Amino acid sequence: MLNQWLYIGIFVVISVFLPGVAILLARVLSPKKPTPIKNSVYECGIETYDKTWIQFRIQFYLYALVFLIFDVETVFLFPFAVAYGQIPLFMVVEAIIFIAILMSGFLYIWRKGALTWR
Amino acid sequence: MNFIDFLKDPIMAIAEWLGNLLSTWGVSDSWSTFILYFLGAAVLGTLALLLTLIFIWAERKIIGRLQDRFGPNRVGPWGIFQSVADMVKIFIKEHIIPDGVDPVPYHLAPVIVVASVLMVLAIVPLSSTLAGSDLNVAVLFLLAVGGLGEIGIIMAGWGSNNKYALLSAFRASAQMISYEIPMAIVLLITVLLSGSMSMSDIVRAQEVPFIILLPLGALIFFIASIAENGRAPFDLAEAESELVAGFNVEYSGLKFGMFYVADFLRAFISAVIFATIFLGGWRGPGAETIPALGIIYLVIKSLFVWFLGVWIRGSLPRYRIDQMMMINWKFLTPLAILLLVLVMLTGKLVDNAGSFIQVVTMLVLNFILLAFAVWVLRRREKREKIAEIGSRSRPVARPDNILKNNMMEG
Amino acid sequence: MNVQQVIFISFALVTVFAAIMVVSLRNLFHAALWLIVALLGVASIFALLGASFFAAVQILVYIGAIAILLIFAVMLTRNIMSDETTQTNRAWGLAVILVVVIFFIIVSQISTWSGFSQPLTDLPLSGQESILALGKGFVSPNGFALPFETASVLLLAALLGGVYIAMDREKE
Repeated sequence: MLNQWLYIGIFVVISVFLPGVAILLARVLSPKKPTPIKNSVYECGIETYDKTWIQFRIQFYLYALVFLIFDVETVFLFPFAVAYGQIPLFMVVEAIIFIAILMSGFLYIWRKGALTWR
Repeated sequence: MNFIDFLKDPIMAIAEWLGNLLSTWGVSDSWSTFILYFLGAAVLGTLALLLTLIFIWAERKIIGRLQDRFGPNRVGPWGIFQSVADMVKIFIKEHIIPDGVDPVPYHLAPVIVVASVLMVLAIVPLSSTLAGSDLNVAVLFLLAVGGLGEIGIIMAGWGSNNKYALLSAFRASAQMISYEIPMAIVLLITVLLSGSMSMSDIVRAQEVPFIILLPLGALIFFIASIAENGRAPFDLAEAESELVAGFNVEYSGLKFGMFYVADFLRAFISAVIFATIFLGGWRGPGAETIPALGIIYLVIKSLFVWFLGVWIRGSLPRYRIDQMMMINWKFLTPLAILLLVLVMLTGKLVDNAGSFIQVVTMLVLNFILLAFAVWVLRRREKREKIAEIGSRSRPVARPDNILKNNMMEG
Repeated sequence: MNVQQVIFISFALVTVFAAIMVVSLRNLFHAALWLIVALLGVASIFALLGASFFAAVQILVYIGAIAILLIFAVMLTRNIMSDETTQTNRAWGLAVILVVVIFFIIVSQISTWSGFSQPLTDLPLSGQESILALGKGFVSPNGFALPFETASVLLLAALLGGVYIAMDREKE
């Protein structure tokens, strides 16, 4: 099993290395003429007039939270899915109870409106 | 070995020859494995990045034809050197770095986004003998590198010191994380059916390709992977004709090129994953004995799926962000979970029947669920129409309205 | 010192360094990025130990969900760009001394454990079978079926609590 992670580790290093080298090469090859106008922040062609922070919508946080819960649920279900072929029916029903508990929560937050983008 | 054996499995033959060469030079076994892995990974990575040029050209031609125009056709016959010209141009463009950027996230983000796309290639089984890494949790790894891509996008948006880039980065990452849930659930169903999380095992378990066992699951996975990729009709974060370029507005030169490459490469790699999981990967007539055919089958299948993706891109209008989220959370996710529960139950119930009955049961189940989903959607559409018509308290601006008002005021 | 030990020590050093950077940086976004590095280090240590399921889950859940949630939560606070407060309070000298003393107590007590002198043996399961055993353990009644269901209730509580608190704030 370590051999497989070795390959993945090598692939990670290479896939970080290849774009990195390409970008460094492009930095070497490209002209460098910074002017104040070129360096200013883009705002559809007009000057920026406010500090750079935005009113962050809580909707993003809600989506990330729901995603986290369902991600953990899926992670719990993966070993069960691997063992699916060899377990009797009542154990499958146990997993369905697991899913049903979380689905009731999903239904609650759906009705509460946490999933609607306003 | 003679020439025919070499033709049957060229890559493993070369690998074996190199391995023999290294051991005659006295290199120890583990180091020679390391060197072979390194060479294989380097070749695969470079090949993927270079093939992206061909895919960019092909996509531009196909979308051009879909929109009733030629694509690029000046640079070389049929414009095949257009991508090379674009690549050379992007390499030598100036890297404009705006004021106030956060240097580490800003410079690392393109690298991380491209790396997260390339890393998927490490686990794809290319033929019956040639799999990069037979990781026993390959399906989870697939989902995990999607998460790394989202981090890259957030870094790009934050590092740009531009509030529009930040907003667009948040929208793009919210879209990407939302659509990972239906993907994960459908992958869970395929793991259920094949009993293993390793890609090679999933391919080997597909005596009957999973698209026949799970057409609805394949549809959900296809839609979710297009949305995860950020392509039309889900490309709100990067609407090329509307916003300037979303979260990569402050990038120029090759850094922007890297985001572009990641987008197009990811389209093809999602197609490869779809082909591996649902269409049977390298399976085909004669692929067991002649591994070289396996790679050809995989490429053909993934090109077909990729073409479907390009076709959809050229045909459908863009979704708004609230429509996108509604599709995911209120349609795809409940449908996927319903499919999962039903497959779990019927899988156990028809466990002892013959394989033909199992296949037919699964197919019927999928179509019943699809019909149910369409019925629910129609009901919702009718309810929305009634709600909209019922709320006509504001006068709608129609041409005859405006004329009447003008005539009344004289 | 074989290669595996060298790799482990380098991953461990990266993880510890990233953890120190997380708690000592002022810019919250940079701290979140260093947290991602620390989590990647932990995932690599899991992979070295052969627990590939946990390595993948670490990246998928911790980095792909929790770190993103943290970054979104960090963005919800207003003045993240400039944090003028110092990272230490007046009692930091006493705290350092206490921490070092407790560290040495813990290390000296743990190092007397006999398990450290026995070499690690792999589980007699390999590849898919370890995950198979995990899966069967999750749902078998004399395995971990009750904690499995309790975990779903815990997740439900987290979901409802988080949504309730966040939606309350939106209505303000």
